Amino acid sequence: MELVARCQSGDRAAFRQLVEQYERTVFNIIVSVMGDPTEADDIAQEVFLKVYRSLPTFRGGSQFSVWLYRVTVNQCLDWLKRRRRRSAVMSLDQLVDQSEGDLDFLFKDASPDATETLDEARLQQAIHAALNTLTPDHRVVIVLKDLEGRSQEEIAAILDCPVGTVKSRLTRAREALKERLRPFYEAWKAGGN
Amino acid sequence: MQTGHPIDLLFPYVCGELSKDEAQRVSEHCAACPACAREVDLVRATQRLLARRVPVAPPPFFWTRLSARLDAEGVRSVFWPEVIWVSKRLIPALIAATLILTSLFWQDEGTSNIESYLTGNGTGKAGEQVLVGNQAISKETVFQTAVLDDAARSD
Ligand SMILES: [Zn+2]
Repeated sequence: MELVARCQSGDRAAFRQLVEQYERTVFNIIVSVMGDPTEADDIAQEVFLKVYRSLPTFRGGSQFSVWLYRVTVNQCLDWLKRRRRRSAVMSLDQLVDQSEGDLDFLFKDASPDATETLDEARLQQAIHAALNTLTPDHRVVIVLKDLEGRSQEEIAAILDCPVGTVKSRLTRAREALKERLRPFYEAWKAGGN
Repeated sequence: MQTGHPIDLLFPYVCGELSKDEAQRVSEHCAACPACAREVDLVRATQRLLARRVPVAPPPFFWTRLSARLDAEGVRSVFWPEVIWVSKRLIPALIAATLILTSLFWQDEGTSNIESYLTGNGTGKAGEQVLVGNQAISKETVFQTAVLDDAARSD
């Protein structure tokens, strides 16, 4: 809180420290919610500009991180509403086609073999492609819970909704993701895995 | 725990979000139910896939670019946001004050209308309405009220 108070008094060095402390999480939320990293830098800048402008009115009623992540999520949702072009990330089907139907990159346990960088890049794209098939509301809860490891109570505070809503969205989002992966997983299992 | 297949509990089970007793019951069910065991397998594959996400690193020089934008937008000082915050609270007060002043003005206007009517300066016809305060009433009513007032004053 000390750092936030220094930022509120207009201390630019303190604000830099604050940005550096939270930028990693902010970027990861943005990339996962947006489904690709191309606009992440612009969105993150908007988030921190908004936070800087609003800091004087932040009264510490909630945790700073909760407030920051709320600004981040809302900025992403606004951006998604305004976005005209499609995400640059390939669909899961395209990624599977590209790997000539070999589904090991999706389901085989990660190997420390450094020669598999192509598979690794494809895997990261596949994770975003799978998330992209969800609605933004569902994607947000999966990102905050299963990727960023936030508690359901914290997510409820970030989204400003009851914990029950988070629970039901999380259940539906996980189910939707599972169903999206089902045909690929069954094909992979049928291939003797 | 629901009866039948505990489908809704499979993700919480795999993610370790169930109580010990609930987890035990799901585990026992899956040991005896091949359909749920297969489903748990898919749930695990889904969670494993998410767990393999590699966090992205912020792009280099993020602060430098952000700092340049802070300078460009002239938001170095925290003065303006404070002003905006205060004015947001002042606006309702100003609106209220304006409404009070406006209603006082109309009250005044209403009295002038009555006076001009009674002194013969009024240009309206019988049945027309005049504004008294913020209410429209017929000129006849105004006249009757004024006559009664006069009668009371002369008593
Ligand atoms: Zn079952």
